[in-house]
Amino acid sequence: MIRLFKHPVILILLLILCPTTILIFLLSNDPLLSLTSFFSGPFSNTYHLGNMLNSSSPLLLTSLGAYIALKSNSFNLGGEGQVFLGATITALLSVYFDRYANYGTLGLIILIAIIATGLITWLSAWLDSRYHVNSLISTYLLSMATIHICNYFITQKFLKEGSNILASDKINDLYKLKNILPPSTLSSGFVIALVIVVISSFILKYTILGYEFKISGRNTKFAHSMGINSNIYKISGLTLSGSLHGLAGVLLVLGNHHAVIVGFSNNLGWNGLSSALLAGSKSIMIIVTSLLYSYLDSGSNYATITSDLTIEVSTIVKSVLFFVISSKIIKEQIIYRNKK
Amino acid sequence: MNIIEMNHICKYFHVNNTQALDNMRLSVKQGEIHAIVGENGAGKSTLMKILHNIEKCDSGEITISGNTGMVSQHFRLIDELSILENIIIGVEPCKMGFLIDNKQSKESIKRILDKYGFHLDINEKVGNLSIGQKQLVEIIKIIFNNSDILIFDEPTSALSDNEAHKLRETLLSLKKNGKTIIIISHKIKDIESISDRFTIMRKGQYIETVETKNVNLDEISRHMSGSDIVKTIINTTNSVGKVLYSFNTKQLKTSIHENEIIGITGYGDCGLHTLENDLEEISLKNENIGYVPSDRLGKGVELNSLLKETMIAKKRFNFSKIGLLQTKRINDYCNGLIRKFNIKGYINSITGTLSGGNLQKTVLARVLDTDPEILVLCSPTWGIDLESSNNIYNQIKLLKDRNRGIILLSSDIDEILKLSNRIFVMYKGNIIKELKNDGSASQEIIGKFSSGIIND
Repeated sequence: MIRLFKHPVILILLLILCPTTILIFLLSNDPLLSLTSFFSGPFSNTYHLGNMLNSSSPLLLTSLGAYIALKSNSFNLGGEGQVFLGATITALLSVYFDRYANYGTLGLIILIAIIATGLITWLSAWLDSRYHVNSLISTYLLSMATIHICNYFITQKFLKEGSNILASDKINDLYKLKNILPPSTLSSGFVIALVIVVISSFILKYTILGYEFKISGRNTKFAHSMGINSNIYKISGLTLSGSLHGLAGVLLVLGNHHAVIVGFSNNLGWNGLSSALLAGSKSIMIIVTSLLYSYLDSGSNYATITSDLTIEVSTIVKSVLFFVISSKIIKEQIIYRNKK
Repeated sequence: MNIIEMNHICKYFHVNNTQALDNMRLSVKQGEIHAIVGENGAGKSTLMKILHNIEKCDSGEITISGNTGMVSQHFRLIDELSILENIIIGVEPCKMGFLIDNKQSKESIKRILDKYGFHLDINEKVGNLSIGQKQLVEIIKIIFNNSDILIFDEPTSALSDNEAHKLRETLLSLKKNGKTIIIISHKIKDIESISDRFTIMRKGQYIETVETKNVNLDEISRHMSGSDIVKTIINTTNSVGKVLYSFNTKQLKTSIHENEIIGITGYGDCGLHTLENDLEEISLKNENIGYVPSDRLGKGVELNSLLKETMIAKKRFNFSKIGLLQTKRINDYCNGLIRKFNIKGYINSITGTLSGGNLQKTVLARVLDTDPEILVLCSPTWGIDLESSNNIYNQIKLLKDRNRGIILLSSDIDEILKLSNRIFVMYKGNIIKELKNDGSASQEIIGKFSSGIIND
């Protein structure tokens, strides 16, 4: 029985259930109603289910991006900025070149967004390999600078007239991703993100490319001794991580908001990092952890509408989860202990 | 009188499902040097950690009358601080409750140095010391902490012969001054030259405790493994075949022949390491040169990967088809290697959970399976028990007999004398002497060259 409680999945579920329940009993006047709406809300109808899935699609990509950076033995702390940059480039270029709207232009815009975000992390990776600048610091600083530059363009050059939020104009209808579950907002972006994660996991697990990538990230000395150029893998790992974050930003615009709004990447980078850490050694687990995070968010959203809970509940639960999994000791000795 | 009495000690490790200690016992007399011997993974270090209270045992009784201090294989010293500061860390003598009393600590350390006949400048930075000197600092630190029982975990394995000799003298001096010493060692020499009694362990169990003077050398090794070891004897004066490769690095300019072993040795910082790096680079460019690194845990295997992932690393392209890894072929191949080289492990276990001897077998398996014409072998038996070492020597012998050339880099002079046709001695970064191993070379002669004395 005690062994069962040590199973990672059970432990993580307990880590979610316990703080949520305690919080709800502390904060709510009608705890039972709040509790049921928090946990069953996201599944109550297609509208909420679809919205939950849709909000998970950029998260899937940021989680994958963070995961790939982690596996190449660097840290990408600049996810926030990269998502925002990807989104800003997509939305602003779409609006600016609205006259030339067709699928070719869209492809070009997406490509520019991916390359631009990749370039930013490539710079960090290059600085790391050339001058040993810690990627943990450089990705974060570059990202913070990027956010402010993007904000400048949105609020000064492309601000939607008469809008009461800081947002750009909507993108052309042609560019909007197809809705696959009306009346919810679920778009085909979810499928795209899912496919990308599955393909990446397959490459990591079953191909020689993935094998060399993993070995390089784990032990450069061993990789060098085996004739693997680990430096290339390290640099491309971080670059790819940036591009995936950028792609998450693209999805956020094309599939979710159809415009760029100041601050709308709302913790996608940080949540991606923590969901990648939670996924542990198996990349396919990213799907589960990303969905879990979206579930917590939508549960809390739903409970805000139907009961007297505040939206911060899910943030607190995620913080508890992040705190616990970022402790290496707890993670290695308790959560993943059985896997050894 | 027994200063340590341990009975019915049991310890189980969940991580790799092993019973590390099984009803183990140990009694140590006041003032003796007591050796603990046994193969890799016999549970020696675990027993000592329990004795020193770093680890808890699951069950058992322990009586100790005195303080214990432990010198482990990896030193716990801070390179940036001086010897003095390193010694007083944690037990700084104070005046007025908060000021460090350097004068008092200097005096007490000086008393220790005089008493035991150690020579050290206590203001020197620890980072500038040799391994042997660092070990001495650890010992002084323990004495400074008023420990009566000193535990040494493989103290001579990282030392050159010269330094190991000094350490043995130090231990005898400690004993003369009333300290009790427990020493874990693979080296027969340590056991026979200084210990009074020794306890043999096998697979976590107590085998027996014997008086050292009543047994002979070979008996000790037989007791350790539980079987007679058939010693591998390699002919070092055979005629060699044709030239396989001519090395032309900064330090090494010579040709290796078929059926030949070249041994390169030297003390401490003599340049063996730089030479190893150069040879590694050559092996990377030449498919016919295999390389077994001295940094076994870093370069030889990948500790956090699966055993099969480690094994296929070099031959990885043989197991891929249009970029896809062929899982079934990989599994078959790795299971084959495990059987062929008698590795105790599973293809899907994490490499790091294997014992030291099995890790080295894994490295050898990986390299030998590519059937290289030339093998660069660096410290192949460092920290490995007798039976596994002998196993490795046997593999080397088989390889040599198949007309292969082997370059052996090792600071273990015994090993060099045992295997090599030609011996190169390094000193301060250069090879200063080449010797034929036809009986004229000996420990003493090589020792002299290693210390830079050429003309005698």
